[in-house]
Amino acid sequence: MKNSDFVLEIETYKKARRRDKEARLVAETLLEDKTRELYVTHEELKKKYNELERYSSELELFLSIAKLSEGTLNLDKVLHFFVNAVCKLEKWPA
Amino acid sequence: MKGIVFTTLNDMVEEKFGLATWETLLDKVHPENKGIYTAGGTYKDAELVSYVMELSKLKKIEPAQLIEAFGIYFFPVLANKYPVFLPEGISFKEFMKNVDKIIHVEVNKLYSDAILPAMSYEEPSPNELVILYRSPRKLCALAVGLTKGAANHFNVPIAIQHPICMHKGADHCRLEVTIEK
Ligand code: HEM
Repeated sequence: MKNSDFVLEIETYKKARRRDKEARLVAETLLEDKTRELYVTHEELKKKYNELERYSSELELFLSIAKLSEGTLNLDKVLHFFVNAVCKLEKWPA
Repeated sequence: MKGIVFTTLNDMVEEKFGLATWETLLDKVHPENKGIYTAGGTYKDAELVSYVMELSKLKKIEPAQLIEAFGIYFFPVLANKYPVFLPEGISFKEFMKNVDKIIHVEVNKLYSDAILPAMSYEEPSPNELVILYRSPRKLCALAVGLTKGAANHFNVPIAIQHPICMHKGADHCRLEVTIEK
């Protein structure tokens, strides 16, 4: 191989190596952007889940009060239920 | 340590000493992953230490000096990759105070396996910022380098005193940054 061919060969490799490195950087950025999106979605879902849980506890509470006025449950049972529901709502004991 | 630290170290060694030096380091360090680092991965701190030690032997440069130089080199890489942390108009000092409470917190969201130092700040005067650095890694030399790199970015001349150091048995490092203007 001639000297100039050698130099050309090295230059070609260098160019290809730079391109591969760039490709790695682009892939890493893609991965990070997706990770960030997932993090945000995950946090939002957690918040929504907590809200829903609270909402469903509240519903149960209203339901028990409705049953009391309807006469399907006696006061003793409703009180018991009421205390449980409030504790659940306030996350007590944690 | 996160992969970006290793890929950037590779870039710096290649740029300053040539590809052959990086290959020599790989031969000496024998990393588990054969030197295939990506930003998404996490690799052993001990490997980083080995690279620094081997490079120090090879080039007869003190390890702390190498780590500091690496910090200076690392900052523009981070700044380029995460421009959101450098909004228009932010001052050098404001930026530095954001590192612990905002920037590293965001890094932890992205990479829950990252281990970041704890830093608190004192502001004895408008042109001074004292950074109290604590980390089991004792990478205060990196903190010094990154701070100098940030100062370069903001074009702010600074001097750093390091009167208390974890490497001298203290439980934290005290980095006194003076803005010389
Ligand atoms: C755009 C700005 C910055 C970003 C995105 C950033 C991000 C990071 C990341 C990804 C790591 C690696 C964590 C790991 O591998 O577990 C790290 C470590 C570190 N950062 Fe920052 N950083 C920034 C600025 C700074 C500045 C200005 C300082 C200067 C005080 C600093 C001090 C450090 C130190 C000392 C470590 C090594 C870990 C240790 O000491 O325990 N960072 N940072």
